[in-house]
Amino acid sequence: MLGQITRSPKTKTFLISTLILCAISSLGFLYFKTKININTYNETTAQIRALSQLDEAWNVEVLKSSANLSHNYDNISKLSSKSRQLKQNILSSELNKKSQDMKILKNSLDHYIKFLNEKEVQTEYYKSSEAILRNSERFLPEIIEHTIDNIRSSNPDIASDLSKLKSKIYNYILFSDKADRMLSYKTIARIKSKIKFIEKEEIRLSISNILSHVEVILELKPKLEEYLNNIILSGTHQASSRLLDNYSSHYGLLIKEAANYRLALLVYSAALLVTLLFLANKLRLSYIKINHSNKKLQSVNFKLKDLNDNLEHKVKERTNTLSKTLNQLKNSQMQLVQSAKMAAMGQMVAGIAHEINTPLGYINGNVETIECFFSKIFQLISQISETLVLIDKNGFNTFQTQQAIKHLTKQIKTIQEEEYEPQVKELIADMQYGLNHIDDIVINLKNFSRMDRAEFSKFDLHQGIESTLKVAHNSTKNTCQIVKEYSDLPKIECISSQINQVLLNLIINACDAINETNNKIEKKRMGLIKIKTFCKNSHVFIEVQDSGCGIDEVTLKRMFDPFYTTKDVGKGTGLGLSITSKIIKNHKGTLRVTSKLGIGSKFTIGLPIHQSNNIHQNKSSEPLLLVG
Amino acid sequence: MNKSKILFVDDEKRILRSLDAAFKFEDEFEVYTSNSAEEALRLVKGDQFHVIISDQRMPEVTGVELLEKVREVSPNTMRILLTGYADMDAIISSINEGEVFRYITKPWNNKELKDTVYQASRIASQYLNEATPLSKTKKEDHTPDFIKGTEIPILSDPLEISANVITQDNTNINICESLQEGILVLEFDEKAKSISEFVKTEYESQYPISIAHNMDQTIESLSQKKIAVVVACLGTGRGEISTLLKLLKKEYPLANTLAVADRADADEAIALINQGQVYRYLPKPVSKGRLKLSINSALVYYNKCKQNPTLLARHFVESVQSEQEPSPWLDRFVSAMSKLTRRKVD
Amino acid sequence: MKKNIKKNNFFYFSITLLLLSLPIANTNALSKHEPIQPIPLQVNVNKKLAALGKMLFQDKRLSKDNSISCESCHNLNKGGTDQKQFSTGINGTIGSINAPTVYNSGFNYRQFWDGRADTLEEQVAGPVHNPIEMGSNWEEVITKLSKDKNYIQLFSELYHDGLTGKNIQNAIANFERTLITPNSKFDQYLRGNKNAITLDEKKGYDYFKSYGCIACHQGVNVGGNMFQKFGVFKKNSDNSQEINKVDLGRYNVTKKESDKFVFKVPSLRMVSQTAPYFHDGSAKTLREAVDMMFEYQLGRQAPDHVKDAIVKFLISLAGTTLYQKGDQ
Repeated sequence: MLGQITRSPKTKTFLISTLILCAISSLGFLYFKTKININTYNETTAQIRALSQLDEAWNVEVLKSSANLSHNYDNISKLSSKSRQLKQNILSSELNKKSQDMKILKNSLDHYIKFLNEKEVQTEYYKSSEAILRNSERFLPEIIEHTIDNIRSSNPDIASDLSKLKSKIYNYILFSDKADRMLSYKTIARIKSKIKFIEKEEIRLSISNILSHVEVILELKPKLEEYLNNIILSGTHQASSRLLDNYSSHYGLLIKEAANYRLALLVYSAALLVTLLFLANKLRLSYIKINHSNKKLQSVNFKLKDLNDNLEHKVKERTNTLSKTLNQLKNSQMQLVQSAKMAAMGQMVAGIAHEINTPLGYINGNVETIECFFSKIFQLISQISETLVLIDKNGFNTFQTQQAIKHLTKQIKTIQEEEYEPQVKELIADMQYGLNHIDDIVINLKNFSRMDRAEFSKFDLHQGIESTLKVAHNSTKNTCQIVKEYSDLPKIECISSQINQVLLNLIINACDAINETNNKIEKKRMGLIKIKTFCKNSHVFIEVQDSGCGIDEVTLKRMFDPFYTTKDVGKGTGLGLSITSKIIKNHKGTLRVTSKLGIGSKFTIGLPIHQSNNIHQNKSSEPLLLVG
Repeated sequence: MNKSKILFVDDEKRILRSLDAAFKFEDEFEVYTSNSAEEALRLVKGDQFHVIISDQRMPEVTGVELLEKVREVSPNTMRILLTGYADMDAIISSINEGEVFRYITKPWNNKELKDTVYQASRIASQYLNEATPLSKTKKEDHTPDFIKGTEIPILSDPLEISANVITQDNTNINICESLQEGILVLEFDEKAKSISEFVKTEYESQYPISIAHNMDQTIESLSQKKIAVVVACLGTGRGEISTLLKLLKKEYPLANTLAVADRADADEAIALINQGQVYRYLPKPVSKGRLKLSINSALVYYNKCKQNPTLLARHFVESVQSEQEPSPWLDRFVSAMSKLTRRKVD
Repeated sequence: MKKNIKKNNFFYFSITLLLLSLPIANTNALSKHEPIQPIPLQVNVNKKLAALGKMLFQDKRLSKDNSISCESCHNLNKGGTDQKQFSTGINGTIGSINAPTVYNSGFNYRQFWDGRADTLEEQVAGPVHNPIEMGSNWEEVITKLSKDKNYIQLFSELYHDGLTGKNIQNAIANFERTLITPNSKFDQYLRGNKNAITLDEKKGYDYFKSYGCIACHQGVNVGGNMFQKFGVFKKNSDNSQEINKVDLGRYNVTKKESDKFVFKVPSLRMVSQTAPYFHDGSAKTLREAVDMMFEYQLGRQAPDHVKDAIVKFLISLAGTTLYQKGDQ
């Protein structure tokens, strides 16, 4: 299946492009990997270092402050603010990224930050505490001496307590001794208990002030020391060192990795280069191949061209031969058509001859018969003359004469009894009729053929139908009955002989169809041919409908083909309908056929009344008789 | 004296009138005319007619069909076809099915027609009425020559006429009494070879088959052998052969001839009817079955005629009207034939 | 280590005592050793940035209903405050804490009373987002301001990322840094002009130092650089007053008990103009404030003349609002 996939060109290009993409991307990747952003490292390290330095300065300031060497907290505060800023910077640097490789450092970073925060807090506490402590430490000596003096007289015990307290607290201030502290608290408690014994409000106030201040000192002093310790020993220094170490080692690793990648990149690039060279070489080779085949192609091309020219010449020759052959064929076809026509004509003529033979038959017979009759009459006349001679010679009353007269009378009687006269008259009438009939046929034949008229002329279709029917009478007389349904038709422009030809063809075909039906059945029936004419849309229509055997589908398609016939060999030429359709086409008419097997067929010819341009005769239409 | 009844059938009344008038002065005949075949058939069934003359082109039934029916109904009635239309099919069927006596074309010659009718009537009379004494004279002598010329005895006994003369059986029946009678095939050109071969294969076992390739051989065969059926292949040189056939019928009417024609020729066929009374006219292509049937029926008829020679009278032929110059063999043939017949009589 | 420190302590303490025993008033010796330092005469700020910041500082669109600007509560003509106990926010809401002065706020190391903002920039966001102050947010503000083509242009000129909340903060902060009040009478005195202040004011300063006010209110800004508990000697809880959230001060940021009531020590530079005083505006006058301080923080008494002198001194701290004269 993989083979199939790689075979399709689309997938091939797809694969190749993905391959190239991968190569480039891996190259890029490797390159990218070799690049280490030292800058951030440097920056961040600098920041850490700066912070570390600041840290140192911070410590110094705090110490200065505690040693009362600075006059305000501006410096400390500034440093603290700066530290906060730097701390923020570091936190927003790559160190605080939540990436995998930075997790190692996160620990040390968090540590460092924690210490820094602690330091800040402690510094704040320190400032607050120191301020208060300073004040108290300064105020106390001022007030305590004064108060002791004031109270010595009135409350000496309190005064002594106060003195004790004073010495204790001074000690504590100086040496931060816990014992002093404790004792101070005790003394305070003692004094507090005695305070109500003091009468002067003022002094009472002073003492309470003193006590509160002492308490403050006692409270704040150890705290302050603690704060100071925490600040100085905040461990930020170690933490920052550790952070830096870890960071640098981390980067060291990265650099190593980068170095490895560089190596890999080198190797990869080398491999890629080799592949490229290889492909380039292949390309070059293929180019050479293409060039080579190109040259070959060109030479082949020239050869082809030569052959082509040669071919054209041959084709010309062939065409000439073919057109000659075609002409020959055309000629042969025309000859064939002609001979077919001749054959058909022969048939046709036979029919006409027979048509004429019948009247000729009885005319001829009658002539002979009448001759007989006449001989008898002449016989009689001679007998009469003999008798008259006898009478003249012998007179009426001689036996001879009488005998002769008897004989004559008998003869005359015979003639009368046997109805010579009517019969002769009848025969003569028959002969006249027959002669007329023959005359009629000949006229119709002439009309039909119209050899003298091969041009378009105005023609009465009904006349044409009539003459055609007469011509075809012999064929139709025993087969079918002709029914005519004429409407008023104007005279149409056509070649009358051709139209007659067409009509004859249709009528003969109709007859044959009816005969066909009759052949199949026992008792012969008279068929029916209905000829209907009507006029519509500047066309005249002639319908020839028969009650014949009908036309089947196969025949319907082919019946207008030349030489196609359903009749036996020698009976039909197969040209009738083909020539019919040609004639109609020539007249720009229409020919439609409808048929039902076993029932009959109907041929409808439509002819235009006026022929606009068809003045001159079309040579392809044959003005000869043709019966299909 | 009984008149011979003759019947004219034509759809054209004028023809009938003409014919009727033509026979007006012939007292021998009682002329009947009919306009329709149906009526004609009825008449023939009802009465004994000597001759029936019919036109071919009629509505409903053709002349040949009518004559065919007449043959079935009244086989002794002589049948003549009188037609203006030389339809090949009509001609052939008139020979083969109708077995007409004569085939006459319109326009006719009155005298010739009368002669023919007389002839036919004479023949028919032999079977229909008592024998009409030959001595009965007419004003015009219509006694045909044949009575003078031939020596065929005229029998007085009327014969049985069987309705079905020709058997339709296709099998080879041993029809001829004597095995000596044979079939002669006239094979004058190559095309007839298939016919002769067929005849040989089919009939060799029962009859002697002779094949003649030229006139001399034909004369030889005819003079020396007893021939029942002649199968003549009309191809090239058919004029000769048809003349021969005509003469054969005249000289030796017992033999039945079958003409197998290369192509149907109407004139030839008509001549063979009228002058040769050819038994069958078979235009090619002819099926084997048809040929066999025809030969069988010819053999049957030969037998029949042999038993009843009077039947031969029906096939009296006209004199040969040959267009060709008399051939050298003509005389030889005639003399050979006459020898043969004399021998026969003996 | 501890011993070392102890020793140090002892040493320095002694010196302190010695120094203290000397007459305090040594006004001629002006040195850099004074706990209060004069305000620098110049600031280094981008002019255009400051101008933009000023526009924004005075722009009421920074508030939700466009009624309050920074200046509404930090009125530059009223000493950088509104001189009210509590400020009024949007919808006329009264705030809960006294507005500190914007002047010299650049010198404070933290912003807000509870020191929750490290920088001026951070502080700007506070009131803008406070529902009872400006009640808005940067999105809203930016939407409004971005319809102003002027702002768009200025921001695009000065900041590469244009009109953003951070940049608004930055601009305003930069402007606020220019709001210094240098050259007060007292500063001139610090600089060497001995006659810049009156004798009373001098006395006041001495008292300020000797009584210990200076312990917390020191540095350039006279405060603003440390946190301190309000009520060292007198607890807040002693008061019958209720304790509000604002009173808890730094505790709100660190949540440490020790940070309760711890506030950033305010600057006293502009106290002459920024009554009322303290985170809750509870001291209406300077004298009241001083009294309270003495009570809560110093834990001692002083005669009136001392307190008056201190008040006079405090008044002398007010310098000229530089911005009126135009930027440097």
